[in-house]
Amino acid sequence: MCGTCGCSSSEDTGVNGHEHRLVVLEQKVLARNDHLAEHNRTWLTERDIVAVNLMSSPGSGKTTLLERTIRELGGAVSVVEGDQETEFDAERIRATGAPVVQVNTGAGCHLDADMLARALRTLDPAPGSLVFVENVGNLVCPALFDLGERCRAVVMSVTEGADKPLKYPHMFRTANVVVLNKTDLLPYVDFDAARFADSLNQVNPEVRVIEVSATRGDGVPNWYGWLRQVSQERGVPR
Amino acid sequence: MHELSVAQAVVDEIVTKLGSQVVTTVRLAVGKQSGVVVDSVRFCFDLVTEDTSLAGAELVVDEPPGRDLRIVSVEVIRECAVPADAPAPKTRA
Repeated sequence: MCGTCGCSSSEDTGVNGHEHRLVVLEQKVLARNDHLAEHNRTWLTERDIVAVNLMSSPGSGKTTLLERTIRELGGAVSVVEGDQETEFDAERIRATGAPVVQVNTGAGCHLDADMLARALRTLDPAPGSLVFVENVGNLVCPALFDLGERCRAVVMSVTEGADKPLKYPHMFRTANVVVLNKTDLLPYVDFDAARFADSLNQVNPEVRVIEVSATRGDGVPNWYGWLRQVSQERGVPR
Repeated sequence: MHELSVAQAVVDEIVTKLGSQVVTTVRLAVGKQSGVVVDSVRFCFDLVTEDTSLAGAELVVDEPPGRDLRIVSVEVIRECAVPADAPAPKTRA
């Protein structure tokens, strides 16, 4: 029904001088975000900067992995931290000596391309450097929003359960690499590795899995190797 | 709750395209694998359209297979030029 004239027809009736007109748009809902993301991608590529979108559920160890990575990887690394509230994660990154910008999304459950664009202007990362974008801890919403990143790394910890890829297929489908964290806890938790591999295979059969313990350092050289490959090849290795 | 962002993006895209034209119907395609919950979009749509040219508009949602997330079409009121106290227009033959 027409909200203005109250007539019930959607055809051109001429009733009360109102005429309804169908306007075909056929436009992606997130067109504006995708457009801004392409701007970010161009901006980053022109400066030979590699941006990695780091996504996971809260508490999977993203920030711990970043702290170790910044200390051990070498080279220019900076970070955009996304959280609903607080500067806690930015303070942890700042303690490593890396430049960091904290984005607080308030009610928002994800970072979008506009937020990253503004954060990058403040961060002003060096040409040829590596930028980590630590997204808001959430396995649902961030999957939908392109930021203009080179690649997406999804961190999952063994305490979360092996079925997560099937429960959150959108997130795991978009991952270029899956980092399985907290492997030092494997002796103490009931994590079914075969079920995890099968779950992941169903949603993203090509994706590489890198097992690490961010707190102890097990497996992190493989993560660094993957990051170096991303930086050097200008592509996304599998 | 990314459906709030989705609903807001729908409003922003339509207002950008159509300016202040009064919108009476919005038709969306929300794919079953899009990761977007239709009921949540409906809830948010009513909130974000308040005080916009889409206020009170009907939201029609198609749910095709796949990951489509698209504004298909809108219906707008072409003419609102007739004052309220004007005589009723003649019925067309």
